[in-house]
Amino acid sequence: MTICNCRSYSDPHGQTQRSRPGTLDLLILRTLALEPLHGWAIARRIQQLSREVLQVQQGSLYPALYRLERKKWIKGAWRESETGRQARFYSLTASGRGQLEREQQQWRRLSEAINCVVEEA
Amino acid sequence: MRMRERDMERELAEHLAREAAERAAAGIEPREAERQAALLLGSAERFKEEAREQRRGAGLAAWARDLRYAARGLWRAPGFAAAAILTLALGIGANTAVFSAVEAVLIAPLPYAQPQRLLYAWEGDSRRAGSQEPFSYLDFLDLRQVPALSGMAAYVVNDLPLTGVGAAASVRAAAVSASTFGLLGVQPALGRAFLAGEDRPGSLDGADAAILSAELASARFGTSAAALGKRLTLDGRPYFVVGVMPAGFQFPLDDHEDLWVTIAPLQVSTTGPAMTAQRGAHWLQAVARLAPGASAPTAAAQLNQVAARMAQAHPDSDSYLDVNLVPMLANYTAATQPVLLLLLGAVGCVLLIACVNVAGLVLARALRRRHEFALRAALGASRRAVLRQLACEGLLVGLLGAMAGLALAALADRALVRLAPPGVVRLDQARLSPPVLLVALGLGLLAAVGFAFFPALELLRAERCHLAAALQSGGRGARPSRQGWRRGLVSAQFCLAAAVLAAALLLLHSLGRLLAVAPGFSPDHVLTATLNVPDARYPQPDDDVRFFDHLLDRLSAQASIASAAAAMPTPLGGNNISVVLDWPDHPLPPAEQPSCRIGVVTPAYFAALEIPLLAGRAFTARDRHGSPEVAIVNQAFVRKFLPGRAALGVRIRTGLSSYPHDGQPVPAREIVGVVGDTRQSALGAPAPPMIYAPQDQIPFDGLNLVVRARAGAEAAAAAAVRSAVHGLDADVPVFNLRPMAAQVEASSAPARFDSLLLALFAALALLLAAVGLYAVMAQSVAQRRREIGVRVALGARRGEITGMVLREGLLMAAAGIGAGLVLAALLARWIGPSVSANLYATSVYDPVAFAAAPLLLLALAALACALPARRAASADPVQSLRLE
Repeated sequence: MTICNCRSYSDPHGQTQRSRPGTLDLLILRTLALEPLHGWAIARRIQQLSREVLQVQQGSLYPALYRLERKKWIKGAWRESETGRQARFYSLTASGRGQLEREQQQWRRLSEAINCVVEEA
Repeated sequence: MRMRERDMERELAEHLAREAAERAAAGIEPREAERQAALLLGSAERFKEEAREQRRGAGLAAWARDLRYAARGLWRAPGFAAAAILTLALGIGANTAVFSAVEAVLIAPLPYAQPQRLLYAWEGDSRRAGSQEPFSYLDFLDLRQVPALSGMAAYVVNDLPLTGVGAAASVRAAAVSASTFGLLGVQPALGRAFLAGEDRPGSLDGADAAILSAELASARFGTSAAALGKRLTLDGRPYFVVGVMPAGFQFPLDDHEDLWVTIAPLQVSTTGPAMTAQRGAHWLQAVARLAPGASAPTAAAQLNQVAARMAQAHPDSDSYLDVNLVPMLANYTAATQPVLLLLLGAVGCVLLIACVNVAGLVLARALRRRHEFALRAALGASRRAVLRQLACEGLLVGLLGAMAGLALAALADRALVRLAPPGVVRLDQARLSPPVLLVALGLGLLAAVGFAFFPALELLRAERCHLAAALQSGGRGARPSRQGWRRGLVSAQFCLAAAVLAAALLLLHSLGRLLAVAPGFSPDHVLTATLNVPDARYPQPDDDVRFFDHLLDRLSAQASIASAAAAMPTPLGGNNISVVLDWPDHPLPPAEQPSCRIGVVTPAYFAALEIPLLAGRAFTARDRHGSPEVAIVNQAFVRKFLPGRAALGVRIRTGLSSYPHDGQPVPAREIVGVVGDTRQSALGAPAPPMIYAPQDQIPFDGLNLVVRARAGAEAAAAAAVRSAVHGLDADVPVFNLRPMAAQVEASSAPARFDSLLLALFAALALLLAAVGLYAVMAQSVAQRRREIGVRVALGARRGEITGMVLREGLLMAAAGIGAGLVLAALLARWIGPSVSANLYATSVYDPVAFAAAPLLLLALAALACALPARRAASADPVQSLRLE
């Protein structure tokens, strides 16, 4: 499954699909809640945590990171990475934590609702 | 903001490296791993961006956003923006200014009804091709009613003294046949046009009809309405104002008329037959309007049928008569069109050269931004989005350049009108009219499309290149492009510059020769003025003689004046009088008699202008009416009519006389002196054969004063002239009081104007071409630092490096210059015949211009290459090698 944050897109078959906005934001915020990570590691971590189900496209990841940074929910800083090279590490800000709370609650409500429908049906 | 972008690049490059490393670890071959990683980063996301664009509705918002983005981009690169916009503004400004002149002079319709049906007519002598003469009034009356013409109108413009309303002044009066306004399809703003009977003198209770210009009406009467019905006195005759024209109205267009009268005043004469009664006196210009459905050739054929009948009826005056027609607009533009089109071509070249430079600037910027494009592509921007952004930037530069160019053109137009030589009809109307604005904007857009094209090409190249490489190199030493076509463009610049420069040098060389012409007289410290003695108050020729004798006596007594004379015409004064010449000792039949220029002068004339007396004597006060009739001729006269013979004592007869002869032939004159030649109608026209007669023997009522002031006393002399004339008769206006040097200067004004403009454009072309060459060479040297470093490290001497760079640049320039000279020669062949009329004693293939242009350009090219060559030679090999 490929995650992207766009509000709609044309798939190769020409059909337009709607995906829930903010899913990628939630994933990034959640990942960063544990520890500061650089972009590549964020993608990796999402992939690992989802047991290789979710793959974040880099073309979506970085715009999302820049957007979240602009909203001051995360903060980037250059640091030495585990390989000894310079990498940009992102960490959650206080307002980012608040946003994560809100998004998580929203997500829980939604998934419960979806579960209700899916399990009942 | 720049900081942020650099962060993004680094971050993405880092990401890529990790992806590649991971794939390599998984056993994929390194290059393939890199490729896959780059693919992942770029391609997959592109279609999503496209989808985003589609949703944003027709992309209009996207364009607006890109324009904003482009504006920000230009703002962040002020050096680039200023250089590009200024270069473009120079090119567009010069083009707009010249086009506004072309539009006003050559294209804008004449301000009359259905102007394309109006024709200008002249009489010619079928024996001499290209001869062009005004009509005589009787010829005009015979010719004006042919079926193919709905009408014909005749006119002549004169300076007449205006009295009876405020101070006496000389006004520019057009005497027009009564049908003129109807034929032009114009109406006075107030009152009425002339009526059919008003060509007869005294048709309004003994007065004649006059129509005033709005300007004269408000200057003399306060308002147009106040002028209507008023009386005024012109040349001593009473007139009645029957109409006032709209402000700005002019006819004919090559003059500045203050008022219009009918032919009536020319029908009366106190001495001899009136001008209108002499079939041989050609003094009226004529315009005609084609009848509906008729064509100009038909009309000309019908006119010449009538002319053939006239030749039979009046063999003495009308033999060999033919009538010619040209469109009225063509008549006004014939002289100026070749030069204006030459100037338009030259500024066109300047714009092309400027565009190449801007394209170079844009390209250099695109090269620097290759990694930025790659980055944007990596972030999911589609190719279309990047192209659109480039187009927006080009558009913005083009529009800003066009706007700045318009501002420049507005300034240039004002300068153009101020500097313009007299005689360029309607140049004063040059302004940024709607068609001119459209052309300027069109040029801006065209240029924009042109130079947005280059970075687009570069982008596509970049796409084919290895994306990752573009990113990782950080854009610094991006792979040097081959630049082949860029070099070709520099050669093209030098080609155009060479052609423009050759044309400019041609005009300058011709101007130099024109300014070196000795006019045959000395204009220094000489003042001239025009005096018209009202015919009605000085009816007899002796009255005119008395007035001028008194005036010259008074003037000669002034301390500020060395000598004072009167003459008609004066050299380069704008008037010419031709007479028919005959030899009383062996007469010719009338149709064979040659015509010759004549001047009537007072005795001090030759001394005042320092025209050398070469044989015989000058006129004296004893050469009066009643004493033996005498003449003085110039050298050109002797060369043409009396070659190898003694001129003194030869008797001639001229058709001109002021005294009635009671049917007797005009008395013969004896040549008593020979004087030096003078340029008469133009500095560039050879001195014509001249006959001089004493004013006392052929009195004129309108003469030019020629006053030689003592050095430094010019102002006092001018004041003395005014007060002496005013003291003699307050109703005689002093008109055109000016230094003679100004007239000599005015004679070269068109040539100076043309060559100044063309030289200016050539300088601009040169400068831009040099900048273009410099830019390419500087870039080439910068890209080859490594190669040059290796050469130096391997023992190449500094001189060899300098030589290498110089050779490269000069070769580029020389190729263009060679092509440019060929282009110039082709142009000379093509438009040479029409331009050569504007050249003085200079061939269109002038060897000086064709030799000087390439030398100048090569020197300039060497100068442009010198700095890059020095930089290349002084490069430190260690440093240049380490840089890579």
